[in-house]
Amino acid sequence: MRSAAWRGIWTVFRYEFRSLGRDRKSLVFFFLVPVFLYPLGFSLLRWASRKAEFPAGEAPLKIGIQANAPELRELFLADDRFEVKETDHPREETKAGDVDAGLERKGKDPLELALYFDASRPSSLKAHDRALRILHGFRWSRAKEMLDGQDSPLGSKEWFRIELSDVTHPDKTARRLMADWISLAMVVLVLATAGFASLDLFPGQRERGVTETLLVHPIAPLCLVLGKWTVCLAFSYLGTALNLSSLLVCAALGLFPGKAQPLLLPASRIAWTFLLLLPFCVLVNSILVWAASRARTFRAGQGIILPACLLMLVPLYAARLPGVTLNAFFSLVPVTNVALALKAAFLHEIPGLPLWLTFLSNALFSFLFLLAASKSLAVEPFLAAPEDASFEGGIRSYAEGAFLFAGGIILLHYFVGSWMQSRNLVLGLALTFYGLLLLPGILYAKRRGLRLKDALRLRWPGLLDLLLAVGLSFPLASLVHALLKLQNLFLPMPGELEEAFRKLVLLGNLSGGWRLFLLAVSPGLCEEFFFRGVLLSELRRAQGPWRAVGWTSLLFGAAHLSVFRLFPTVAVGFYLGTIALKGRSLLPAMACHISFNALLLFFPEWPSTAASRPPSLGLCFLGSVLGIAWFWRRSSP
Amino acid sequence: MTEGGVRILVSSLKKTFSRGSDNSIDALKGISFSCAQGEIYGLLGPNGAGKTTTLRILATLLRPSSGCATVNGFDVTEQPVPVRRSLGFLSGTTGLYPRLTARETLEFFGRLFGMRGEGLTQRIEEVVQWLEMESFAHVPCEKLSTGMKQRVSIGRTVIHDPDVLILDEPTTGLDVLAAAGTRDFIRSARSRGKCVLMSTHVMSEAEALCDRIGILHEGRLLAEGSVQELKETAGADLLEDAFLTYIRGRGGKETAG
Repeated sequence: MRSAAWRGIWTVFRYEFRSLGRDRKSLVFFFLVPVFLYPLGFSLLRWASRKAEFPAGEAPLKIGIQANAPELRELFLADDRFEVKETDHPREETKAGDVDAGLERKGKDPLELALYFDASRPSSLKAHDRALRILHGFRWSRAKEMLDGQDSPLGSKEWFRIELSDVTHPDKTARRLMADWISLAMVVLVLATAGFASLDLFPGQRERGVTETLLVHPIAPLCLVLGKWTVCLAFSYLGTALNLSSLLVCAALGLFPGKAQPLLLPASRIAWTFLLLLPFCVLVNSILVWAASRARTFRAGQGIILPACLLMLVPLYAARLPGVTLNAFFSLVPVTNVALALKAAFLHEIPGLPLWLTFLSNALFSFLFLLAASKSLAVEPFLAAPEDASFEGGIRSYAEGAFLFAGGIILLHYFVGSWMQSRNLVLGLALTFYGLLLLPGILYAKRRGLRLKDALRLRWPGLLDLLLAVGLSFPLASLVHALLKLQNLFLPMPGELEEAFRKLVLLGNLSGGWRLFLLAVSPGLCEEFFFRGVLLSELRRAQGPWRAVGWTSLLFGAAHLSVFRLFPTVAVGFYLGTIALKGRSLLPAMACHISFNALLLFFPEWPSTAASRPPSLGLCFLGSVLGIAWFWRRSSP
Repeated sequence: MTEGGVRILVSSLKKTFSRGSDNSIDALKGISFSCAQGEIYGLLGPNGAGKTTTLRILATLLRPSSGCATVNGFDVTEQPVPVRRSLGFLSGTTGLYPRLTARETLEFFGRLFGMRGEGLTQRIEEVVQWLEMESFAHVPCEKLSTGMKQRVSIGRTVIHDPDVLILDEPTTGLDVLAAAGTRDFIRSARSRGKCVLMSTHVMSEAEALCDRIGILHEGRLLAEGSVQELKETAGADLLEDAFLTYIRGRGGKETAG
């Protein structure tokens, strides 16, 4: 291809990409929501499911394991929540109810397993979930062994497979399947139809000038919103009902691919499905109408509606967790309540009070969302003259550029950095710090026209400030330790992760000097330069100092790529951000960071000793406050 | 009823758009003017002068930061519903439902004004005939030409027979024929005793239509008067030259004549 053509492609790419990258809302939803909200949401779900699965003081579950699988028996014997029974017929014993679940090798292949459970028994479902969790853990440890090139006790390099087999009576299995399948189909169909209608009626009309025209007529914004919402409701209810009917007819005629047999559902179940569709449609349409009413253009609307739809799948997933049934509490959780009611309608009878609460809570939530939508219709910035739109552009671009850049660097860390470290830990770490943080930071600062010395405040702070910053790392270490202990109450760090950290700080038994360089000096220099230097400078220009410190702390936490380290690293980020902000130089923050890492590296017991008693913890807190106050005082005019 | 037939009264109107504590734009810096029954008043100014902001405040879409404005004697801030009933607002975009026909559009917006039954049907026929829409009244708006869409939009604006018409750059984007049709409509509205306030940056249009013109620039009303008065005060033969004189001089408000 000729160079002019390539130039054309490059020009189109460059300007289109720039234009897309300036869509602030989409950037926030597509980059920041997954980085922060999904880990948080799924951690909460994980915590909820653990609570539901492993209540304290519960009797161990029985698992029958075939005699010819000794390594599996050992795996389950190590877990005190299981009572292991050696058996030659795990399937039959599970079906008879003698054990809660059964596990056996299928055929001669040592890596092909079958797990039997009875979905109609809650204890068997629990055993199924626990056993799967253990087997998945085993699978990950196998994966790690394979990556490390270690020999496995199983001898083979292949992945092992787990076949799940429900030994329940076919009728119960069918009901469970239908409850899962119909609730999923219902959610997807409602989201698709409601999303389409709300996009057209709100941002679409706003873009075509119809909203402005409507607002000069004597009609209240709430009435306008309600009128449009009923359109969306009717559209999504009818669309979903028709689609579901068609799918049910296909099921009844046995038209599904494979060996599907005709499946005619009882009329009462179908009636429940269509009845429960109504409160679900009411709520989903209200949420989407509210979300769509906040968008100024169709394009912006797409950027809001799609993530909103994805977020609504999380409560749906919660309804599918074992042990979660419709009760007074869950009837107040939107989306989850309808999915649970549907599950109950198929598996057993729906409890009366929670069902009424489901209807009432959905109506209440819907009204609140619609009220909020009517308020956002009257918000002036949406109606302000188009010529004012350029006003925000210059300022906004600082923040957008910085967020986009940080998101890219975090992704690079996740994919490239992790890969490099898995190949060669020492070299990988060095390349990650200097190649994926320091170098991009310098290039970005150059691209944005930042003068490194001024913008990043690379100036000598004075010996006293440096010593104080080093001193502040001691109370910081103990405070972080206390925070970790607090976090363990609701999000316990897995033992394997702690072990992995212990191995990491040894760095294959490198000398102390190298470990100091790679795990203390390098992160102290590079991370401070990137987060408290480049990012903080950019975000300060757009958002003011404290919001910028907050955002850089969150990004710093996200860059550590672990939900179990998120809270402590965000706290460390905020601490260092405050020192960087008030220290009038980046160097005290660097000194504090290096000292903090070195402390954890060479004196790992110190933080736990210092944080073991409330008085010493209090002293650490006081020391931190006084130290930061010193910087604060120095920064005042 | 208003004093002396004045339908629109704007007094020391200011509007500031705030975006955070440190960032704000003064779109209007205290403008005053009035427009009477049977008069066409033109707001003339370059892009970003504050024309659309003024019209949107009068149409109750924006709230003024200070000052006051009345339409047909009703305060735009305190009595938005009677104001909306008194005026017909034609925005910069046609603002039509693409899948509704012209007749359905008129019916829908007429109903929003509380019109019903025989009265509405009769009014729709009147508007269709007045704007010569018979041939395409049954066609969905998305299939109409720009000029036809503009006629539907005008029909939507006058369906409730308002005393005051506010038109935001009514001929922008129209071809010669459609623009001429729109100008005919504006003249006929004046002859029916309507008060017409319009914004434009087309000199020839302002000269041909407006009884009085206000020159707006950077949120300030620089001059006001008839075309002849503006030309004389600026010492120019053409309205365009007079306009440039006022804009480049950036003086305070001076009333020509």
